[in-house]
Amino acid sequence: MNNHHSPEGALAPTFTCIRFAPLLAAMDELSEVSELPAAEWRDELAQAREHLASCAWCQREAQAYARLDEVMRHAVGTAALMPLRTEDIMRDILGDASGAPESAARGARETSVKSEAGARPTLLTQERASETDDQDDGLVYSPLLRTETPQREPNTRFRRRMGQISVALASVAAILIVALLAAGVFRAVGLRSSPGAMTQQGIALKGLVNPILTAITFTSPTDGWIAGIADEARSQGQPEKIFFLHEQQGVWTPVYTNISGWDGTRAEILSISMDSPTDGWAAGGEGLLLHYDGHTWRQVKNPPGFPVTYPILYSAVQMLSPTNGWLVGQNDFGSTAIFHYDGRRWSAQAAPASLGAGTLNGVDLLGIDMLPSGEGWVVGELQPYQQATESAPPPPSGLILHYVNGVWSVQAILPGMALRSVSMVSTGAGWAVGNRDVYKAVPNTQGGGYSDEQTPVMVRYSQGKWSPIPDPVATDDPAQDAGLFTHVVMRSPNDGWALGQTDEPLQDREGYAAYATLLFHYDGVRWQYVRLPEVKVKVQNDLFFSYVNAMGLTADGDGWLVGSTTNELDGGALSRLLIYRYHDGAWSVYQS
Amino acid sequence: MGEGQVASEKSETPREACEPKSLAAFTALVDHQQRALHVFIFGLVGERELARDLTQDTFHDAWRAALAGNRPFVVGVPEDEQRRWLFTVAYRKAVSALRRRRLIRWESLDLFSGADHMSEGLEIGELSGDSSFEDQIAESEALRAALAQLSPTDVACLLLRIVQGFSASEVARIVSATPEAVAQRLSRARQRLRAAYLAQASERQSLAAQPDHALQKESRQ
Repeated sequence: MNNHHSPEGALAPTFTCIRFAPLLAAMDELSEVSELPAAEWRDELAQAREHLASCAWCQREAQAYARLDEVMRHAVGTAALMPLRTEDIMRDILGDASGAPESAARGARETSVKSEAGARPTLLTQERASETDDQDDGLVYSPLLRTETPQREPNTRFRRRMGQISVALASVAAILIVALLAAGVFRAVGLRSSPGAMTQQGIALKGLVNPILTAITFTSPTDGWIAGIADEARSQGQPEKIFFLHEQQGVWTPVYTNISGWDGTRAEILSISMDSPTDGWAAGGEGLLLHYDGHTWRQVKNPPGFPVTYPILYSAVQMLSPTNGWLVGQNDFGSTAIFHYDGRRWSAQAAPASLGAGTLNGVDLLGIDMLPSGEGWVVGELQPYQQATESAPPPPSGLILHYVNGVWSVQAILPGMALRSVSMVSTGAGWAVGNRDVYKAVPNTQGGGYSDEQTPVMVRYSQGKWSPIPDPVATDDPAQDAGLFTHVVMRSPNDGWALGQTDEPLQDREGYAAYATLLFHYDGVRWQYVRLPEVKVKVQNDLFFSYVNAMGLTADGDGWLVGSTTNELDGGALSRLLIYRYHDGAWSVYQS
Repeated sequence: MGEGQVASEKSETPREACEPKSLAAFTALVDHQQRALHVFIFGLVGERELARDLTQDTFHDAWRAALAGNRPFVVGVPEDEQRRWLFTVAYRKAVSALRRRRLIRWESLDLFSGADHMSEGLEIGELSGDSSFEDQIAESEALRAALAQLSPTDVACLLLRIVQGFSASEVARIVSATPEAVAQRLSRARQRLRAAYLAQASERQSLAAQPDHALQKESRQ
């Protein structure tokens, strides 16, 4: 057996040990899939096994991982959960077995309450309800009794056939409604579209359901891109696919892709930047990095020069020209993610050493604004690693990096906040937005459970200093005190927009909930709250949310906000497109 | 035939052959899988009420799939395939719920409060080694805190592989990734978990001044 010892006599790894260390962490799993065609580590794994057989340090490492597994099995396997009872689950299921419309619209939360309370299911069919009246309550709810009543089969089949007919009718109705809504609302929005295009727009996302719009950019007032994510109708249950809406001369055309996350997982495009109508990049979660060559969006995987072999989240991309682009993201273990594109390849940029590369510090870079002059700013949050205690951890600090003369440096660290977007008016003036974080301990949670309550924050750069603006969202509505800003875009020193949303759902009188959008406009003197047109989808017994995920401005003064509305349905969610447009001094809304 | 039993095992048409074989079989499936599914979802979302709702939701979806005659809830399909279906749906529901949950970013898994409800699963005393009860509590707390530092996908992969015993290929199907990606992800997740766990254990050790803490145990090996 190889023996590696430090001068003090303890086991110490060799270079070979370090090389094989990642394989030791998943030796069984890697072995399982090592014969697959895509497994690039097959030979490496064989060498690792050979090394392991004779290396005391690596054997100790392998034992440590085995023990970690054991602790995890114990800790999670013995979770102190109030056990669910099979009879409760079945009773709830059978109460919903008819597929009646009202049951389809029921919320899951309601289900749980009923089960725990042991109350009578309220969704029995007429037939079943009449039967139960004659029986003892203790027997009515036992699903096993129902297995002995064979005469119900025809009724079930009848109901199913009726359900299929209803679904078909509902589908036709839904298409008609979508078409009518699209035509009507697009007219209200004032898109410069022909009538034919309006109709096409309203039903254009063929084959896709549950779309969510996640990013937007414009190269000119008549050329824009919106990125989104949606389920494929034919293969729901598979990862959602990225799609785009491309505006050319006032007509939005869907552009479909077969792209999902880096390894087939779910991921969204979070940022698009076009340096011309025929060249641009889009980036997002799980290593999503897409290039548009004027014809097609193609995914770039593991681009040369990247120091990571697994996906990180790319928060923002900004292209100044086809040969000058910047990309930032969030990585683990303090390895700050800043990349530059020179027209041929992306390459990692050296980050300020003070951020603690190689440590457990969390450095999330979330926003970027590079000026044509060559200077640039990146904002994000810095969460110094702190071992957990019984109390809530300290909140993160807002991080502002400055790029000048080819070097990135820390320009400011602002305690107690996260900064998510930055927009500079000049090298001497700009704004950054985000949120303050207030961590509060959650009572009765062993080991330090806490909640994160957020309030919007704005920071101004002036006279060489970044300064938070006191109480930036002072409005008459106290609900808007909680939330965060996600985007800021300054057109000029006297014209800018800040976008965000409240943190808690607001309930209207009818009980429908919405994450209210925070939209503020800056006129050179102060930020003023802008009320957007109301969004409401009324579906009985459903929870309704609206999300605005991105903001885009055009050079002619128009503004766009994109996102989705989501109805929480029984067992799932139904999302639809949500687009606001600012035109001629007023906002209008489009909902699919 | 019962309310939910919409087809006979002797059905002759192809349509009928795809229908659930019996309510009793579905009930047995629920009975076999609900505890593990509940624990898995709770491990991902960290909220009891939400975990309970999502577990119930998952079985609702399974029942509807069974009524529709969809695989794997048809005659002749092994329960392993049904189990994988349940965890796939549960995973997607949990991720979706996490995405929509804005206020509470993280909440203690609270694994050991209410220990009187530990009706199944490993008993504390079964953990091998010479750990005391207090040590085991501390280990689990540190593990829980370490898990909370990982991404939901990493946590899901670890839970599915280590706690639920799925193979890497099965985990890949559940989380919609390639087996190679899952194997790599598991390697990365275990390294992260270990680093975070040791840091947690070290901190707890220094706080509690317990000389035989897990960290030292490991370092002595």
